[in-house]
Amino acid sequence: MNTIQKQLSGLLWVLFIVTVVNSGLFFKTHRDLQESYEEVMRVEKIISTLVDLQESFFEESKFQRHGSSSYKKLLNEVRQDIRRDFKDLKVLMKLKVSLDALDEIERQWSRAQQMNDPTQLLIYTRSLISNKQRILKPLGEKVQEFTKVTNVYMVIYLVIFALVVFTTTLYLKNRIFAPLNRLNERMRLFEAGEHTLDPVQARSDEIGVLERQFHQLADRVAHTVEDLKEIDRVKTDFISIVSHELRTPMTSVKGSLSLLLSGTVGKLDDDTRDLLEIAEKESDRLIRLINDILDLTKMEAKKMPLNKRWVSLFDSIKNATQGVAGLCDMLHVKVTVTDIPSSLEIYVDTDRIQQVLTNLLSNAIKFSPKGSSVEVFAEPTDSGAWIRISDKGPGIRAEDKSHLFQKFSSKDTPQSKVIRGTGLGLAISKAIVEQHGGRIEVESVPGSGSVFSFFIPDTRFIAITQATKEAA
Amino acid sequence: MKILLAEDDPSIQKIARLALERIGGHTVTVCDNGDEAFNLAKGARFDLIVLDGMMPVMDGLETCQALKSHPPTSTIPIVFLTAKGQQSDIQEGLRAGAAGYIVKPFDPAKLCQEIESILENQRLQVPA
Repeated sequence: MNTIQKQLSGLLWVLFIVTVVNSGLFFKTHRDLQESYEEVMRVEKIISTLVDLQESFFEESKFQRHGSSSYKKLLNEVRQDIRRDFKDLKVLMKLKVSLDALDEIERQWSRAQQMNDPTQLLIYTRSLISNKQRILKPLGEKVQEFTKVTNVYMVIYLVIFALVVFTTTLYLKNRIFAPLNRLNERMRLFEAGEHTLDPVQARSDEIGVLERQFHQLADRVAHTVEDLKEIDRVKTDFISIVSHELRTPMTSVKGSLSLLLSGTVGKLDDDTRDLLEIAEKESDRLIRLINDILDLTKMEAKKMPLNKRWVSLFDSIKNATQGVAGLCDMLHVKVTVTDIPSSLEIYVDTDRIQQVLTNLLSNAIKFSPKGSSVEVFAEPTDSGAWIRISDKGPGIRAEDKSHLFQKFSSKDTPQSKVIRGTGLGLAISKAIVEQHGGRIEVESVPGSGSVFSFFIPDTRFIAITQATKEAA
Repeated sequence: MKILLAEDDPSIQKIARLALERIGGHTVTVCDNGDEAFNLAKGARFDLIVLDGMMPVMDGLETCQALKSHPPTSTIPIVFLTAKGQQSDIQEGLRAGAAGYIVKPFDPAKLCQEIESILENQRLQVPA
């Protein structure tokens, strides 16, 4: 764990130490050079003092030969100065400068001192001047040597620095960015639906752990997706098997009953006909039930693709009313269509919306009192259109509203004995409307009827030409 | 009219045959699968062929395609009588060249009506 963090901080420490060591070396070198420079300046100063002294000595000697007190005094002062300066000059020794010449001068100086002889001092001064080059030359060499050493330090530092930077870059590329890019690519593939990923040789660092965790997660998701696909396959198979296996026997039952009732295979007495009619009515109901269950299963399994197109709302409602005309006649209920703009179009699967309209209309008709009328009207809004179907039936109690759109929640109607619903109509209608991106609602006051409404979001108004008016 | 009926379920075969004979007044030849239907259609002249969707050996769709691509039988109107009632199935059937598509469970009287109207259309088209 934390390998990358450790390795990266290791690299940064190396860089830090190299920088500190180099800074120290530079500092030391700089200080040495400074000292050398100061010593050189001091030697120069001594020499110029001696030259001055020599000149003043000659001036003095012209007027005051041996034993002048002022000369002696001056000479003593000069001696002290020079002694101090020689002491300082020895500092140069630590720079490992060859100072044989200085030793020689010092020896001569002490001899001149012992003799207290201005002539000897003169010789000494001359010797010092002639030795100037010999003293200063090693110093210059030393400075050159320092410069060389400094250059070497600089080169070494730059090489180490470049190496550390190169290693860090390589490290970042190979250990961080390459695995991150690989992970990124795998995530992209996974998102695109490539659920079977190649096995990965992940390292044991943080990104390796992340890679392995992603693969474990991806594996789990892939398994879940496989399971879901399997469930989906089973569901599809179930729908098609049920569809075929239930329809085939019902075809025989329904067909036989219809043929018997048509009288083409023989005359029937009244009781036999009554019984056969009951059987036929119930087999019709069973067929409706099978169709409804299959529809609902298909919608729930998202196996019912919508075949959407723009259609006139007015035409759809007209078709649905025509479909329930028989029921209206049977139950003596009227359907009136009001306030539907003929230019209003809806983007829907016509067959499915027809199914919703037929369901809602036949419910309204079945619950309506004899002689009353069911009203259908539309309310276009900015975001779509509401289609409302209102009846004057017994209404729905507030506590029944919540489970009205659930499966098999149908109530017995006054006409239950004539036509029995499957209890799935509203559940199917809700599923269809929701698949269109809309919603279905009911408003009702017990005793004064109900209004069932559904909302279709995709609507438009088209320009009505003379031709379309005539066609309408 | 001579009608060929291919249906593997004996009960449905009998009901459809009775309906076509007794209500429609047609002469009906029955067989159990698409392969037999194709061979029968090649050997004798039929005015219309009714095909079940799911049959052994050769299913309804394959039989329809075979009949439509065989010149002597290509003009015979074909009606599907099948439990496959999805919009996509119906479109597939009509694309294969079927003149009618009846979804099971069916009303025998409506089957006869449908066949009657298809034969009527055929009669109107033939002289033209």
